[in-house]
Amino acid sequence: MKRALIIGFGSEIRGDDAFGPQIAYQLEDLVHPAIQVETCQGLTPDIALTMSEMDLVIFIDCAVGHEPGVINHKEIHTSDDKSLSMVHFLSPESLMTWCGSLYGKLPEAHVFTVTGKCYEISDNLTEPVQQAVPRVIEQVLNLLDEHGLSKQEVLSHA
Amino acid sequence: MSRTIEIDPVTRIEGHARITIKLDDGGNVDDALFHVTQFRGFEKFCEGRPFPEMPSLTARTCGICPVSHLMASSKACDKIMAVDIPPVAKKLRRIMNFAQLTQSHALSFFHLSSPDMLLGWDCDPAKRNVFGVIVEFPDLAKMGIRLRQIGQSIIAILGNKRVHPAWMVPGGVNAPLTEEKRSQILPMAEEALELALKTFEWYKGQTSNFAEEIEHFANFPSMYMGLVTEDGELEHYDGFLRVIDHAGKILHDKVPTDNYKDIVGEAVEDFSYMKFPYYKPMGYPQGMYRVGPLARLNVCDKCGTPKADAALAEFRALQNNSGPVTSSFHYHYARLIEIIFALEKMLELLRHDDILSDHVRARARGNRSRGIGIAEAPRGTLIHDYEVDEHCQMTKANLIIATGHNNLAMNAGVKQVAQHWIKDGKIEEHMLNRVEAVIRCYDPCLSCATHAMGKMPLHIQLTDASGKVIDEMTRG
Repeated sequence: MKRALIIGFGSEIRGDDAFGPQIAYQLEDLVHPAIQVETCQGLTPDIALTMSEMDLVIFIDCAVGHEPGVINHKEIHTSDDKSLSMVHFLSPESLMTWCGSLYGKLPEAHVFTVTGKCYEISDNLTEPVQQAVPRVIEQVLNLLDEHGLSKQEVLSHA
Repeated sequence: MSRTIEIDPVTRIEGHARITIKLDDGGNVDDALFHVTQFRGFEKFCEGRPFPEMPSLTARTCGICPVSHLMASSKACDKIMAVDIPPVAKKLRRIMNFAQLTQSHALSFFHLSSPDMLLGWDCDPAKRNVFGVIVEFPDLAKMGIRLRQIGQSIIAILGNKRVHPAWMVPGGVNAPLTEEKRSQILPMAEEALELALKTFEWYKGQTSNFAEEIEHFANFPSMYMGLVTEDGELEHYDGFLRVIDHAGKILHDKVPTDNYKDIVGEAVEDFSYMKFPYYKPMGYPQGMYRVGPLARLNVCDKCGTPKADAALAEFRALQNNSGPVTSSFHYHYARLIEIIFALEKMLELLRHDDILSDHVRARARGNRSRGIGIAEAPRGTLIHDYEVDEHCQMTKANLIIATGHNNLAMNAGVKQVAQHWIKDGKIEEHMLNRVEAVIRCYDPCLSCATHAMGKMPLHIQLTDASGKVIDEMTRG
């Protein structure tokens, strides 16, 4: 069976930045326990080592730049943008670079984002981001299905 | 014409900051200011919350050292409850804190500062980053990752969660340590100790390459503050505050943490949102002190574990055993010693007879209107000071974070570096690298609740005395 990691990241007290962790908490109950689900405030280098042991990695984050609530999904690869490494927290692309450079292995990796509306201190998602939650969960579950990682398929492998 | 150089933002630190270097008419550095331009309203956000929520709430201020906030906050809540928590709970809290210290120091040393040290401040900026380290020193990069992963894994095993574990609670911890979990943690801690010792041995051989930086990276007399045990040993969880002067003379000792306001005052400046704590008996700004790994090793009499004490003797030899180690460059050295200490102590605690006891939590309602919790975070002394009303709801919270204590010293450090490396108004890349690097020695965490956008280009502005931008450059 393929090994998969889901990481929802963002600050849980910065309004819509909590989108990633919120999705991860809900997915934890919806996916098979063999799929590793993590939450964190930001991506740090140690995650590269965990990624190197995976076949599929799914990042879930919020974003800026579009209308609030807009969902974006893309497959990601390594990045040559050196400036991505200049803060405590890394981007998914730079983690892919760490993973490939240090461990010689690259999982298939995807990022799901939703555009946030408010990042002020708050423990609530705004309405447009809240509305995106079920749609992103559905898309993530569909992606897992495509990789033979639906709950039923994982159970049949067990 | 006098000029102002601005470096905005500072890279590889948390939050948003800017450095302004003011040149005099002769092109020499007149002054340097480290601005923190982001305002946090977190303390206000806490008002009205039931106090037992505070540990998990305040832990969310930081993605790197949430355990420190969890711990200081839990201790403040213990005081409000007026309970003495079970001894095993204290040990378990300490173990989690040591795991966090390990992962946080590893991140600072390997990820943030190693590009400067390994590749050099004069290296092409396109290569002087962690990717350069990965290419040139892959084994070292892997060691750093593994150390951090072990620290994070131990936190996850204890708290069932990597980043914001809710295991540490007012009154103790919410579940005892099982034999199964202890068996998982022990070999990881042993492996991490080996890695830490190996890194320390390697690093000692590197320090001679940094003589000029050691001499001029915030290398000045100051006071130092940190927790120590009753016997004067290195302490991160409990104990008493100790303050020493530039020569190592103890100014204040065995200060109960509840009395921190006797020695710590807070000043404000209009150029920064970050407060400027100072040693109260000396006044502001003369009362500049440093906290964190360098300060902790300077204030303690000894570490209290064999390998860390051996390393401490070498640390003190850096200053010819003639007083506190004064160069902030040696924060890096001190971090490695603290990792060794944390892992030795962790192993000692895990092997303690009663560590699997299930008496790990005291229960009570709020019995006092105020609680102060102080612990040593990776970056220094962390203070949580709470007040509650008769309904046990928060009416006031004051958080003095570790980075804040170092604010005066960081400003003085930037000025010293700028004065040494900027001559005749000539601005070069290597000088700017060093100005940033002196800040990174303190590993500041300015606003951990900030959403990291993943990209923080370096923006440098040169303005004249009227504030008009006459030159600017963006890097990254």
